[in-house]
Amino acid sequence: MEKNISKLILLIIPILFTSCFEIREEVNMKADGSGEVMVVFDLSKSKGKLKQYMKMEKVENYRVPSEPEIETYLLTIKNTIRGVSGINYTETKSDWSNFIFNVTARFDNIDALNKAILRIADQLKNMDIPPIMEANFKYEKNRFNRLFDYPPKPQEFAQLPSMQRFMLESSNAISIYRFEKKVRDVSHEKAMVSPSGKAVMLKVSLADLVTGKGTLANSISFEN
Amino acid sequence: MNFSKKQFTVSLLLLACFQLSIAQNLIQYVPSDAPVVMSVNLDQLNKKVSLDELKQFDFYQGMLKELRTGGETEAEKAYVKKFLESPSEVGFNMLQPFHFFMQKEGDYTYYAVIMKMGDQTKYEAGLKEFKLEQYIANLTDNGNYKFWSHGDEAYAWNDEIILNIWADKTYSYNDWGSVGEEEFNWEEPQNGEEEIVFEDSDIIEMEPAEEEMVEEEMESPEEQIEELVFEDVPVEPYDPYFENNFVDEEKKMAVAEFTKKIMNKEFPSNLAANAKYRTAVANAASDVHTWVDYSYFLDAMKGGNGSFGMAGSEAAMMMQSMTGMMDVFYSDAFLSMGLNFQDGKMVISTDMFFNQDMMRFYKGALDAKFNKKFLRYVDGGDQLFGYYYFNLNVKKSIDEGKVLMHKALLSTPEFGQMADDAMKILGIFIDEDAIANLMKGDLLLSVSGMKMMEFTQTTYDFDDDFNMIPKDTTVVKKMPVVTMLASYGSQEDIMKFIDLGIHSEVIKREGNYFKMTIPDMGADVYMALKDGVMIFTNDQNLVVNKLDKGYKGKQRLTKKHRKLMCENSSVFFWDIPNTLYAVGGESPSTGDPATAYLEMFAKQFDNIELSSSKKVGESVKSKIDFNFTNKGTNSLEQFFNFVNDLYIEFIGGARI
Repeated sequence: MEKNISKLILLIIPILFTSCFEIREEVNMKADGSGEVMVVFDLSKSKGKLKQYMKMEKVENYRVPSEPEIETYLLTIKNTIRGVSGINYTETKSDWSNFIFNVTARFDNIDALNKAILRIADQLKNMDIPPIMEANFKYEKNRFNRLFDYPPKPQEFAQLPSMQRFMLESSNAISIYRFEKKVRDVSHEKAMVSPSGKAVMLKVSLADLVTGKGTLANSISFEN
Repeated sequence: MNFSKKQFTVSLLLLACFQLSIAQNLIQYVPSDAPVVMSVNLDQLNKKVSLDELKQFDFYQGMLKELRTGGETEAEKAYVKKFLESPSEVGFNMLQPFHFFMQKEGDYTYYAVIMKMGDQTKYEAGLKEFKLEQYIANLTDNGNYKFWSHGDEAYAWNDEIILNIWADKTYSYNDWGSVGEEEFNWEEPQNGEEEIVFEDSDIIEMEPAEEEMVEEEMESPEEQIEELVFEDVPVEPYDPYFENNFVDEEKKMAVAEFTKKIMNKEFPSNLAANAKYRTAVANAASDVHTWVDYSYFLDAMKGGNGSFGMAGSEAAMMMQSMTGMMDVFYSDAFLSMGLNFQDGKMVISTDMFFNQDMMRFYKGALDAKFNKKFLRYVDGGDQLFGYYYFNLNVKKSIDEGKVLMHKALLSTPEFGQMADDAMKILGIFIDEDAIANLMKGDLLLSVSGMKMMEFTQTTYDFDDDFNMIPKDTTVVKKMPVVTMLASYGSQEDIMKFIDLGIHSEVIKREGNYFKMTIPDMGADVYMALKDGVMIFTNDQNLVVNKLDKGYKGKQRLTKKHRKLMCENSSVFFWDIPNTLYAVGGESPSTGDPATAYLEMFAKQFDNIELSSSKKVGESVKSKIDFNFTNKGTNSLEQFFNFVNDLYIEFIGGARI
């Protein structure tokens, strides 16, 4: 999902936002491979500008989607995920006063989660975002893998106006993974293990994701 | 009235002097109904910065370089170069005022520049060099003036003036035809119309006469191509005018006709015959003066002037429906705007001439007294960014405003009599005295510098499992100190509004003041009522410690500001260095271009003052003063220096 989001950010979001924002991916894994995923688009730091833009309807020749259009889009995501076998609960939330949008799903196994992401990516094809062909997550007995194989776009990034580059540099993608077992080791040097030892957090700037200087790829192993 | 012989003689002499100056003035060539006239007093400007001094500036040299290379032909380039370097060499008298004006007549809008002729022989020689063989080919001698026209260019001259003229065609929506009030019914025949019924015998089937030929052509396309090759086609000589400017003969004739009208002064009266114009220019000789007649814009709204290109659009139709209302406000209205470069300041003075109804409204509305208690609560110390003040007489505004609204509604068919009746009924419930006793109609908004202030922000912490826990955090930020003051009449009535705020938990009472928190920002705003002054501020210190006596005398706004607010109905003051240094963090130049420009700006300009006089005579007067830091040098020279610095910065610091 992050692959698509990065592309989306590079294409559209820099035009619309002038402040930083955050994309958070939280996965709560159970030992049996089931779990819950929540993706949060937190645009609260840009909410002042966004409220203006939504009133203007068009900014720099780009049409700003209306509230009902975004709600319809969230509903489409919800229905898309719901149709995947192995997904047993979906929920979308939108906080229009703070511009925070959540998509939550419960999955029976990691394959169901990957399928759900592929389905959403297929939906995003219409937005000029290349489809994802590979899995994003892998869960084996003693290892959890976040895969991130997105080709970097440093040249496209360099061509953005400096204000938009600055905005991407100050915006972050955050991944938080929580487990029932204690974490033994993480492959990403910037990943932090929580005081309880059962959660891992990684924060990467969107600019680094786009240019390939950073990655969300992480391999987490557990204590026996 | 006792009018003595001496007074009569003096008046006659003054009138004669004025008429003489008008006769010598090129304004006699400007029709009195020209909607926009701009006059540039080159002699006055030349005394402030001469052409020779102007030539020393880098930006002027840069401009010359651009213009020199901008011409289409070598002759054109040479002429432009000569004109820019020494206009007198090509016949122009640059020490006399020149006028630019526009005039709408029929389908055309004409634009004209009238300049004083310096030397006719040099002018004609210059034009000949400029236009080469086209000069003689397109020249006509009309007796008292010569006229040269080719393509879109037209010049006329005699030994007194040079007139440069061009025109634009305006297409009126009305020309496209109208079906009247009723929509045309395409289904049913209209009254008096005969329904046309086609009988089968009327319908003649066309025989496919060329079918065979088409088939034949399709079979041998090569042959067809060969047949279509034409040889010996005569090549027209290249004419850049024909290519770049489609020569519209009708337009050329219209321009020639308008030129004749101007050169022979074939119009009922010139601009100097307009008493309002005379009043406006008599007030002060401006370096640059602009005169605008609002009737042109009202006509445009009515569709007469092509509605500014919006003809037929929804906006144009809306504007048309409002023309009656706009007539009430802006008929017989003129704007006079003069720009003057004085020592240390650049002054823009405006006179707004309205019709009698509007003048009565302004006389009443601006008849208001400054509440000196305001001065207690504004920190006017050396950190002041600026303020905005206005003062309206609420009672007189409502009284006179009702008369205007009544006329406006009656003259708007879309609203008409029913809306006016509704207004009358509403008038039963509107108590002008009660409104005027609630708020007096004045307001002072000031920004007194920056101060560290506390804000409550929601931030997030992570628990032991990286779950996000929201928490309220108090942060300290440097913020501008904003204070808003307004006079009120009845405290009892004001408290009714405040009680509503308290009961809806928007406002909280804290001792002798009230507190409100701005949602989303986490910042607090304080409100207090004291001796007829309602205070809103984000500075808690003001309502906690200064409410009784206000700021000490020295810390208050200076006498200059007090005078400004006493004499004017509205004032805007902006201290440029205080604001820019505070915004820029008071740090020395960091080397980045934005900071460099800000510093340049802050060093040159001291402040900007805008004021509108509350004394309404024949016009409503306003003034904008751009005050420079250096008070001893003429502002035009300082302005050019500033532009030059910007130019050098822009081109990378290298002098040309």
